[in-house]
This record gives sequence, structure tokens and C-alpha cells, in this order.
Amino acid sequence: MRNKKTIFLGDSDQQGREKAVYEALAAAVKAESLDAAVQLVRVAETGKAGQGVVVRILPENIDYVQVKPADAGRIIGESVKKNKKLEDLTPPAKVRQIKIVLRNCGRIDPERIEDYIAGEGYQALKRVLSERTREEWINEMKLSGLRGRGGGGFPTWMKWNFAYRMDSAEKYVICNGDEGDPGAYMDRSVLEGDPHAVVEGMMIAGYLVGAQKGIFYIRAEYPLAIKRIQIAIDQARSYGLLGERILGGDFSFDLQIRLGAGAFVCGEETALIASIEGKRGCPKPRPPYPTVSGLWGKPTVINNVETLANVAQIILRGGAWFAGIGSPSAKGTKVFALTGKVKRSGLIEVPMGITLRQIVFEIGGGVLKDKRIKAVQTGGPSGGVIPEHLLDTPVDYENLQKLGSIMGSGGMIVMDEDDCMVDISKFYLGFCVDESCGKCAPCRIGGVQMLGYLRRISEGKASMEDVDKMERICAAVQRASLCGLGQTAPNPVLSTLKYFRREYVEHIKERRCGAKKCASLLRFTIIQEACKRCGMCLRACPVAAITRSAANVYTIDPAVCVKCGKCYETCKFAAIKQE
Amino acid sequence: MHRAKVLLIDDDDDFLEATALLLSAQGYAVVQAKNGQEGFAKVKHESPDVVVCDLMMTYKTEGIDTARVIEEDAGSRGIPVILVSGAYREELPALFKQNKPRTVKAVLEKPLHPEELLRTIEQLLADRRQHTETLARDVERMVEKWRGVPGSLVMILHEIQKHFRYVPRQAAFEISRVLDVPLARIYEVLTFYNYFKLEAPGKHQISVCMGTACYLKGAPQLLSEIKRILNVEEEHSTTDGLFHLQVVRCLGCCGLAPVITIDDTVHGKVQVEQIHGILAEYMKKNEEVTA
Repeated sequence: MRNKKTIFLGDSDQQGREKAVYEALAAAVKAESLDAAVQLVRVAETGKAGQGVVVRILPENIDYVQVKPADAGRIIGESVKKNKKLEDLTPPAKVRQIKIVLRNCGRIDPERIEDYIAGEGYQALKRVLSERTREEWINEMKLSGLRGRGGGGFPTWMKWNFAYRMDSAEKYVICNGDEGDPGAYMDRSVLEGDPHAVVEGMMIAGYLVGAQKGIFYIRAEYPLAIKRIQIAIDQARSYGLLGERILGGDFSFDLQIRLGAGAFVCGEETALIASIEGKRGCPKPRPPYPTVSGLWGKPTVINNVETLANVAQIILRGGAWFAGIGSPSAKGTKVFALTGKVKRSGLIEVPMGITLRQIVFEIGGGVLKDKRIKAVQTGGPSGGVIPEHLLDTPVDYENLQKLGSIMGSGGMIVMDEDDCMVDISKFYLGFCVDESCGKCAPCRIGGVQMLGYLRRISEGKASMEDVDKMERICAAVQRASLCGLGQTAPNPVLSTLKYFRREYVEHIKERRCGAKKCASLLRFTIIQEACKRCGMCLRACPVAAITRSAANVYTIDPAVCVKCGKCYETCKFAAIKQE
Repeated sequence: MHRAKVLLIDDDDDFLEATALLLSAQGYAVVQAKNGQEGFAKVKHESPDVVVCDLMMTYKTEGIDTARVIEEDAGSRGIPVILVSGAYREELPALFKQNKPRTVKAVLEKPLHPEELLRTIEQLLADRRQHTETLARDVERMVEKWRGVPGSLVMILHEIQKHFRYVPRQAAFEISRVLDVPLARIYEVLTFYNYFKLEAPGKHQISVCMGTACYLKGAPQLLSEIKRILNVEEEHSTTDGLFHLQVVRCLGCCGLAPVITIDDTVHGKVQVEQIHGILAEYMKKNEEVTA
């Protein structure tokens, strides 16, 4: 045996149990007379908490968990000597993240085109320009099954095909980087971390549909993304990848940047076009769709940042490769911004079809402070909540829609038992009401009315009838609104009502907020047995709702109390009850 | 040539009459008002170029309040005010220390010396003219960059805001003139997008993230604490011009929730009790600079 093997072993729970295993392994090594070929190393940290004694064999990089001293003979005799993997000791397959969109993020210098080119950069463009016909490439995109990552999930190839078939001398492609969902920052990370991938995606889209101009529409709030895309465009131009007769062919294409200005509705295609035309970002009725009549009345393809970042890889590795990842109805990967009450928050890229439970517990590491999970919210203000008992649903466009939520652009927020669902739907609806452009009445008026009902519910001033009325308005707003913003604005309300009606009833009938979030429903009382008569609460109260009687007994007058919670925070003896 | 218009506000008839005589003899158009309320109405109607205002009229600080009302009115903000003080002049520094309206450009003492008044008015008018000219030049330069590009209004407004940190009313007038676009069109766009500011922001920009993660982890409490300490509303600046408070949708660092940023400094996982200390540092730094 020429190659020397190293065996690391450690107790993942730091209880010192690896000592016995170490001795058993050492004995086995001796018995097989492999002393010269195997080195045993005891380590303190294994990176695998809660899995007993962990053994790792290098250079094969084989991990065994829950190893007992009795297993030592097999490990040395079979695994090390005969290279036979011991299935019963192998840890269960973990959910693996797959990096396609984020493949370069954090790995290359985004401000150097050379770094991007070194990793197959612009090879896809070269292939598209020099091999096969446009139809064939669009067909390749069809094969990949790539669907829009901005939320709608419209098949990308179909959009391109529509625009390709339009007979027009002037066509446009637009990259939608107006990422406005609270809690979502996938597009920003891609624009900042791998700008050339998006530029290349734009150029391929431009070539395939027959456009001469591409426009990046990026939020002004993302200055670094803007800067890096500008650098990428300039570098590509100086390399002859943009401009006239690219790579010696007859394709001419150029890119420019337009800035968003803080209007959520501009993520909607027709509103985005209006904004690029220098107008207020108000949506227009569709049809005509932008692929028929878009920017300046010309056929226009609008793709999301993440969608475009997939394109070059699909071209290079083939549609079939991409279609092999993910679930039957949704191909490829999706980037999510996993946040909220989760231990490891951040961006993740996972294959479609993974379950929410796997995302939260295996990738996210579980709920913060190990509290009970109540729901996962997806799709931002246009999405809905998915309760704990449905977390095993595989994530794809249709499944989420069936549950009353949407895939959205990829915000994923974990909520625990301390979150009040009435408060959550108030938060999201408030966002949509704020961001409504005001053009169509269902969204403009309906939103405000719904918000009014929600406020009354959270203040304990509503009746059950109000819930019915609210549901009726929701249905009207969903059906009659002009654009996606209004059509999806009721989702947070409807989905919380569907899965957490109990909480609404509790607010209305018992005037109680179980999660203690709705301030006006809180009641503060003093627990006399615990009270030390220190008088701190009396001094802390800003409205003099606390009084001291002659017998030195403190009481809170609920009629005066403004529920600010100052007494509760001030009391050192936990003598104030909040309910 | 256009005659500069001066608005005189004083409750003393003799003062009004005498000063009006002096100014019209110099070729100024003169408008008069007898108290702050009437004065502000005249500001709106007559759009004077300079306002000369008495400090104490019906009550002690009416002059300061009038200047503030002018400052707070978007249409009148740029009009300079000369505050004239008779009684209570020794209290003026203390009153100003609390909050001096930015419109007050000069303070003169009664009895007024005619030459001093005339000189001050001349100076303020010259400053204003120069300011308008520089602004017009700046705006023209920025518009030029985008001339001929269709749909460039939003981008021009971005340039203006980048330069001035907000979009001054005067700049909007200039764009309208240079591009030959109706002012209403410009304001239609300006007021639709909440990225554009119509007021000069304070020196330090406080952004409170109201993304979902931050919301769940207590951002509303942080916001109300900041409002309480600074006595300022969202999207407004403190009266001393030190802070501008804004609420943002998501700063894209949900792992640090709740997050506030002050200028470019990110404060993550902020507790309500820490707000006081964070703000105090900026105030202290500012005091050191002014001292």
C-alpha cells in the first residue's frame, strides 16, 4: 500500500468516548499489521454535532458516525483495507445545496472580467453565436424547463420565442433588478457577486430574440450592484463583447443601466417599462404583453436577474442537464433568502422540489432558541404563510400556489410561536397599500379598507362579521386589480385566515393576542405576592396609570394604561403580568 | 428690469410706513403685513424676494415662528428672512440655540440704520441671484448629459438628487425650463417615487430597516424610540438639521436583524436601550466640531 491513510476521529458531543474507539482502532491496525500505512489522529472538533463518535478516513474523505469500539475491526478490515464502504455507519444523505446561480459569488473578483472568463465565462455566448440556429437554442432553453425566477414562473423559452417571432426591426431585452420584497436580496447578491454572468445572460437573450439593446433596471438603493454592472459592461465593451459586430459575427448589441427610484410596483413588467420611459411607474392592462408591445411600443423581453444568471450554464451544459435537477414540474435550483427566526440565516441555493422542512431544519439549522415553528412565509407581500403541518410540501411554483402562497422572488421567512398572524398580515398588507400606485380602484380602495379591518381586529374592536366582509373585499381585489401587486395583495390575509383563523377569532371574541404582539389587547396587572413595593413601576409609568394606596398596594388602572410596557420592563421582580 | 420685492412684517405702523418709504425710494416694490399670519399669507400670494420681519409682535417669538412657517412651506423655503429685534433681543441667542430656522439669514437691531438695512437686502439678493445662477448652470449640465435620450427624466432627477442630496424646487423649475416639460409632469414623477427627496435631508441619515425579519425582531420599537428621542417623524429631518430619519424596506442583511444604518455605518442586532447611546455619539461628535 503506497498511499498512507489518515483516520481522524473525535467525539462530536465532546464526551471523550472516542478514546475507546481509538484504542480499538489501534488494536485493529496492529492486527492487520497496517502500522506503516495508517495514521490515527484524535481531534476535538468534528463539525458534526450530536452524531456520536465520528471517524473520517482520508484521502477518500469517508465519514462514519455513531461509531462504537466494536466497529473498529470492520472499519480497518473492510473499509480501509478493501475500500468497501460500511453503509450502516454512513451518515444519512444531507440536503446539499447546488450552486448554479451563485456558482461564482464569493469565488471570483466581480470587478475583473478575466476572473469570469477563466471560469468558462462568455464561452456560452461564443457557442450561441457560432453554433446552431436561434430556433435550436430556444429549443434548448425549452428542454431545460427554466421558468422565470422573479415570481411568476413563466417559461423563459416561451417569452423568448414570442419576442423572436415578432417581426420588428427594433427589440429590447430588459433585466429586472428592481428587487423590492422585504427580506429578499438574491438579485442583489448575484449582481454584486457575479455581474458578468447576468451580462452574458442578457447578451444571449438579446441575440436569440433579435434585440439590439439591453437595459438593466436596477434599484437605486443598490449602489454597489449598479457600480459593478457598469464596470462589467465597460469591460465587456473593451473586450469587444459588446458593441458592433460582436466576436466578428453580425450581432450588434449594447447595454445600459436605468435606475429604479423606490417604487415596489416597478417590479411589474408594464410599470417597469413606464419607469424606463421616464414616467410614473403605473402598470397597464395586458394584453398586449411586453413581448408584443413593450418598451417604446417594441417587442420586449423582461427577465429577472436570477433567471438570466442561469442562462449561460444551460447553454454550456445543455438543457437536459438542467432539467435533471429539481422536481418534475420545476427544474433547476432556486435561491432563497432564508431569514426570520432561524438559526442560520442567509442565501441558499437548493434544487427545486426540496421540502420547506428540509430548508428550515437541515440547511437553516432549526428555529432560533429552539422554539416551536409556527409557519414559513414565502413570496414576500404577495405570498402567504405555510403552517407547520404543511412543511413537508415540496417547493415548486404550483405546490406553493395551491397552499395560497407563491414562490415569489425567493424571500423565505421563518416565524415562531411568538409571532402573531394578524400582525403579520397587517404588516404585509400595509406594505402593499403603501406601494399601490393608485391607478386602479380595487387595489387603491380595497387595500385601505382591508387594512382598516385588520387594524380594528388587532385593536379588539371588530366583530366576526368584519372578517366575512374582509374576505369578500379580498376576493374582489384579487379578481379586479390591474396588475400583480393588487391581485396578490390579499394573499397574506387569506392565507393567515385559512390556516390561523383561530387567532383571528381569539382577537375578536376573547380580545386576546396569544403572541402578545397586538399592544392594544395587552393587559398589565400587578402580581401582589411578587411585588416588593419598590415603586419603580410607578415612576416609570408615563401616564400615571399606576397608583399606590394608603396600605402601600400598587395597582394599574386599565382605563388610564396606554400599554406601553414600561412597567413590565422596569420591574426587577417579575411582578407585572402581561397578558 | 424686474424690481425686487420686499415684504415688511411688523405690528408697528410707524415702522412699516417709514421703512416702506425708504425702500420704495430705492426702487424696491414693497408689500406690508401687520402680523405673522397675515405675513405668511402675503408670502404665498406675492412671492417676495426678501422678508423683513419683526421678532415680537402679538407674542414674543412670533418672528421666529413666521420664519419657520416659511421654511416649512415647500413653495417659499428659499426666501431669505431678515429678523428685526427690538425687545427681547438679549434672549435671541438662547432662542436660536434651541432651533434657528434656516430661512433667517440676518438679524438686525432696532432702531434700524437705513444703510445697514439696504446693504443687507442688497447682499441677500445678490447671494440669491448667484445661487440661482449656479443652480441653473448645474442643472443644465446634468440635463445636457441625457439630452436626446428618450425617457431620461427619471435619470436626470437621479443626477440632481445625487448632486444636491435632494431635488430643490428651483431645480425642478430649471428642468422644466430646459427640457420644456410642464412642471406638473416633473412633480408627477418626483412624488411618485419615494427615493426622491423634496427636502434637504439632515447631516446624518438614519435608516431603520423595516424588512420582515427586522419587523419581527423589533424594528418598530427601535423606530418609535428614535422618534421619541429626536422628536422627529419618518422622512423628516430634525430641526437642528443633524439627523434625517427614514424607514427603508429592506437593507438586505436580515441576518443582523433588527438593523439600523447611520450614513454608511451598519448597526446590527440593535436593542432599544442602545439607541440612546448610538445617537449620542453623533451628537457629541457634532458638538465637538462646532466647538
